[in-house]
Amino acid sequence: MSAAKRSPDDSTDAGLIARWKAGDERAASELVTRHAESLARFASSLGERDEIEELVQDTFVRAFASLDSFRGESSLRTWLFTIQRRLLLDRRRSARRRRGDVQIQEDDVATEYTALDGVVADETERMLVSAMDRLSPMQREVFTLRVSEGMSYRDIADVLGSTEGAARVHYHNALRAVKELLDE
Amino acid sequence: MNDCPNAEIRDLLCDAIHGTLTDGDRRRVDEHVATCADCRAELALLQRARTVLDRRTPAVDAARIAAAIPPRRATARALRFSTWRVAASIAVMAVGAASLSLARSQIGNRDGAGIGESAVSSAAGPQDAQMLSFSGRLSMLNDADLEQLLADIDDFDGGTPAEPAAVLPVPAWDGGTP
Repeated sequence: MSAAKRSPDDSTDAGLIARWKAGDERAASELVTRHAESLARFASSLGERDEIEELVQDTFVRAFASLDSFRGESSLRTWLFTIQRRLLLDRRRSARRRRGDVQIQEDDVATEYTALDGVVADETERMLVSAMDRLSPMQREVFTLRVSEGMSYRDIADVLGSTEGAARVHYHNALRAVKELLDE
Repeated sequence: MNDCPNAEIRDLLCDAIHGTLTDGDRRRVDEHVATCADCRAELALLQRARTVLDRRTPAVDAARIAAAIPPRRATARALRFSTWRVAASIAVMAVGAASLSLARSQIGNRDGAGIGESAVSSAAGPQDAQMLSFSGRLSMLNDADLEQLLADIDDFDGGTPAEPAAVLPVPAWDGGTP
């Protein structure tokens, strides 16, 4: 499709999806470029360290394979986050079954998070990183989606399979915890 | 660092750092933050947290990820092919079950006739039955083969080839005159 023939909405997620469905493979690249970084950041907040690119790739492959079922009731980004979170939970369940564990909890989604990665610029940021690392897995997920991605409580609730009110409470608890840890 | 009691404004601070507030909300936040030290501190904290989270984002190769996505046409064709395979599998299983049932009923009828010599037996033997055969794996078939198989299944008559002819009881003849 030539640029001249594109409608003004072609650059939106919905427009890119429509272009991809019409056979324009560059639209897929644009969607990946647009959302891959956010997905990688979210994967990191979920505690992934080593296979983030593989997880992001699998998320996109699964999403594109079922894009016909995406009805646009949420944003594409929210939908991608939801897919990625489920993928990660499934993988961890499988890994735990292989290890013979039986207790599987949603809150465990980020238990493999490791602290302080040494890329912080100064002491204040180092403290901030340390404080965020000490949040509960659920608080860290919500805090990342709200602060880094600017998502609404409703969208966060969709990703977590929770309620808007619960997302708000998790966010404010996380913020309070960060403040307290910085004040220590 | 204290929490401002104005929860409504605090809920808007994240949207403020992302620039997604409406003009009206942005004015409200600006006016409030100008006079509230707690909200100014919280706003600064959120901006710094966002910066830190962005800086810690793991690098991913978007081009490599995009290259792993199957082309749209291939995806659609794969789905169509997959649907055909499921449909063909179900049809083959259904025909198999019908054939098995038919064979059992024919065997039952022959056995019954053998005992009493007065039962109803099928006029047509199994050798007259319409045959539908298939060997190999469905996954090895291409679209054309599958369509042909489904057409054969449509044409296949799973019932008895002919109405069974009644075999009336034959009185025993003792060789004498009736």
